[in-house]
Amino acid sequence: MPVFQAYKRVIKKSIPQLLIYIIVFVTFAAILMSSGAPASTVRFDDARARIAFMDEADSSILTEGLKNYLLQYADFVDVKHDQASLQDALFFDEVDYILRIPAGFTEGFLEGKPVGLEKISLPNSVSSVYLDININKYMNMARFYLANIPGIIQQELVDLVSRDLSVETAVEVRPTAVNADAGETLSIFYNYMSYVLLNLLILGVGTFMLVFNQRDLRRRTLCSPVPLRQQNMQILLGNLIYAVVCWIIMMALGFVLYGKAMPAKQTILVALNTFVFTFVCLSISFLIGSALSSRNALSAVTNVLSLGMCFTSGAFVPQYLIGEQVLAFARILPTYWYVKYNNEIINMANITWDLLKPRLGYLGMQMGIAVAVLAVALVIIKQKRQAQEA
Amino acid sequence: MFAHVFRYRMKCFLGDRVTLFWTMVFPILLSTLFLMAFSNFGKATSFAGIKVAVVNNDAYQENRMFQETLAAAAEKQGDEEPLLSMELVSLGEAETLLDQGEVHGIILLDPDIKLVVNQSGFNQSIIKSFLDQYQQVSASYTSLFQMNPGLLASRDTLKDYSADYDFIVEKNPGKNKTDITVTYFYALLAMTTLYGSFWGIRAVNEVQADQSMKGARINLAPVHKMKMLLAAILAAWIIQFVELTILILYMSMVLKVSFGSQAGCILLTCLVGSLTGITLGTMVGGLIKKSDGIKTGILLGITMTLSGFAGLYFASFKYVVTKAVPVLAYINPANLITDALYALYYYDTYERFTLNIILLLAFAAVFCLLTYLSVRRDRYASIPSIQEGD
Repeated sequence: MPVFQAYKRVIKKSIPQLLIYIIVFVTFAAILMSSGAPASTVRFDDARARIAFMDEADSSILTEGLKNYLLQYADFVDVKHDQASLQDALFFDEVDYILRIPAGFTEGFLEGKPVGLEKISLPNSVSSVYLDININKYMNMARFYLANIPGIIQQELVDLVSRDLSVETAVEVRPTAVNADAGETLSIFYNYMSYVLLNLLILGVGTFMLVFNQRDLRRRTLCSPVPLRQQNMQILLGNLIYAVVCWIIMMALGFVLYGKAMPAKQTILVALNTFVFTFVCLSISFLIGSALSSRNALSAVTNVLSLGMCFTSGAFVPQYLIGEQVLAFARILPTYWYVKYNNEIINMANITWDLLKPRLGYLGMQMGIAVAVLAVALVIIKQKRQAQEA
Repeated sequence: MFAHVFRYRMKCFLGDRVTLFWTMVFPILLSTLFLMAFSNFGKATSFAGIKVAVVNNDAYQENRMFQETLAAAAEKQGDEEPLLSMELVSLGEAETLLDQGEVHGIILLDPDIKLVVNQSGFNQSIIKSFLDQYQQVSASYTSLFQMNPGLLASRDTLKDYSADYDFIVEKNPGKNKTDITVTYFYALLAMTTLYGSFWGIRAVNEVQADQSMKGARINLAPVHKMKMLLAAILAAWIIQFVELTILILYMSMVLKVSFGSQAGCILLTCLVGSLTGITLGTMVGGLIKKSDGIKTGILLGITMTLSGFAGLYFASFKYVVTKAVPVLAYINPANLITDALYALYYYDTYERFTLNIILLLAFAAVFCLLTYLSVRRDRYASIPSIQEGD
C-alpha cells in the first residue's frame, strides 16, 4: 500500500508540530485540575467571597465582632493597603470586595450618628450583593439592640448579635450526578478538546493533501500502476485511521485525567460526541486540504478557522458569557453543537431516554454539517480535476 | 543611498502578504473573536436577581409575616434589580424547576423554613442569608422581650428594627471601569507588537549573505551593511507602527474597547513597543544561524509564552505572575506593553506607565546591541547552501 505508506510518512514528519497542541492541552488540563478542588455534593457550604478588610480605626470590639462574623461568608485576603495594590487586586480578580472601616466609625455608631462603611467592588456583582446583605444584617441588628437597650456596652452588644445571627436555615441539597464544580472543570476540558482536535486533523490531513496534491507528484501517482480507486481507498484508510488515533489519544487523556470524576454513562456519551466531532473535523480538513495549495495558507486558515469556531461557540469561554447574536450565528458551526451537548450531558443529574433524545439531535446536527462540508469538498475536487484536464 | 535602500525595503515588505497577514489581519480577526467571546460578560457576572420557587402549601398560606417579607424582597426598589424573583408553585412543580435549572432554590415551609438546592453557590447562599435573616430577626425580638418584658407592654417605646438601613457606601476603584476583559485586548496588542519580530527576521535575513539569496546579492553591493540593516529596520518599524495604529483604531472605534483617553501615550507605547518587537526579531535572526522556519518557530514560541504571561490566555495570570515573581513582570516585554496600557487605563498617576516605557526602551537597546554584535563583520569563505524561505 504505497499511498498509505506515504500518508504515514507525512504524518510522522508533522509529529513535532502536532505534539505542540497536545502538550499545550495537557499542560492546560493539569493546571485546570490542580485549581479545581472537588467539593462534596451532599453538604451545603455558604459561598465565600474574597474580601480585603481594612480597619482604619484601631479595631474596636464591634468591628472585631463584624470581622469574626464575616469569616463565615468570606475569605480574608491579605493585600497591601496602598491604593495601587488594592486597585490591582480588585481588577485582576484576587478580591471581590474591599471593605474599609473609616476612622471614628465605632464611636459614631455608638452615638447613633449616621455612619457608613466604604466598599469597593465590581459594580453590581453577585458576590458584592451577598456581602452587602450580610454586613448590613450585622450592623442593623447591632443598631436594634443599641436603640432598645439603653446603656448597653460593646461586648454585650456583640455577644447578643452573634448569638442571634447563629440561627440558621436548614438546607437540603439534592444530589446531582456530577457536582457543579467538577462538572464545570469537565466541560472546560472536553470543550477545549474541540480546538485540539480541529488543529490535529486540519494540520495532519491538510499537510498530507498538500503534499499529495503537488502537481508533479499528483501526475506521477496518476500514471503509476496502482489504480486510482485503490489510491483513493488507501487515502481514505489513512484518513480514518489518523482520525481514530487522534480520537483515542484524546479519550485516553480524558480517561487518565478525569476518569474518576465522571460516571460511566456520561463518559460514554461524551466519548460518542467527541467521536462524531472527530469526523466533522475530518471532513473540514478534507475540504481545506482540497481547496488550498500552500503551507502558509494552510497555517493561516487553520488558525483562523479553529480559533474562530471555538471562540464563537463557547469552547474557550462558557456559552453563557457569549452574546445571543453571536450564539445565533454559531448554530451553523459544529463546535456549537459539540459544546452544547457536552455542557448539558455532563451537568445532567439523571440521564433518562427522554432527556437524552433531544441531545442526540445535536449529534445529528454535527453529522449533517459534516456531510454538507464533505459535499462541498467533493465538488471542489471535481472542479479542480476538470480544470486540470481541460 | 539610504533613501533608495529604504524605499525598496518598504516595497518588499509591503509585498509580503504572509507577514502582513500575521501582523495585522490575524490580530484584527482575533480581537473580533475576543469581543464575541466576551459579549455577554458584563451581564453574566453581574447580579440579575435570584430565582426561587416558593412551595404553596398550608404552612405558607398561614404565615402572613413570611409572605410579606418575601413580597418585599421581590419588589423592585428604584432602578435596582429586586433581590428575588419568585414563583408560587406546588412541591412537584418546584422540584421540576430546580432539576431543569430554572430556579436556584426552593423555599419550603415544612413547617419550619427550609431551603432546597442542588448545589452550593453565591445565588443559593444569598437565598440562605435572606432566610436566615428572617429567623434571626425573630430571635432578636424574642431575646429583647425576655431581657426586658416591659417593652412588650409599651409597644411605642420599642424602636423598630428596620433592615433597610444601608451602612455601605460604594466607592470607585479606579479611573475607569473595573473590567478585566480589557486585559485580553491589551495582551493581544502586546502579542501583535512582538509579532513585529517577524519583520525583524526578514530585515536580518535579507542582509545576511548566508541566510538568503537576496542577502548574498546585497552583500556584494558597495553599501555599508549597517546602513542596509538600519534602512530595513526603519521600514519595518514604520510598517509595524502603522499596523498597530490601525489595530488600536479598530479595537477602540469598532469594537469599543476602552483604552482610556491619553491617545498620545498610547501611540508612544505602540511606537516603543514595535521597536522592541522588531529588534527582538533582528536579534534572534542574527544570533541563530538556522533556517527561516526554525527562527520563526522559536520567535513564535517566545512571543506566545511572553504574551501568555502577560495575560493573553487568562487575564489574571498576569497578576498572579507579577505578585509571585515580580522580576518576571519586568523582564517580559509583552507584560510591559500590557501593563503600560493598563496603567493608562486604570491609574491616575503616570509613574508606572513611565517605568514600563523606560524598560521597553532598555530592552530595545539591548536587542539592538546584540543584533549589531551578531551581524557585524560577518565574512564568508563560501556559502554552501542557501535555502530560500519563500
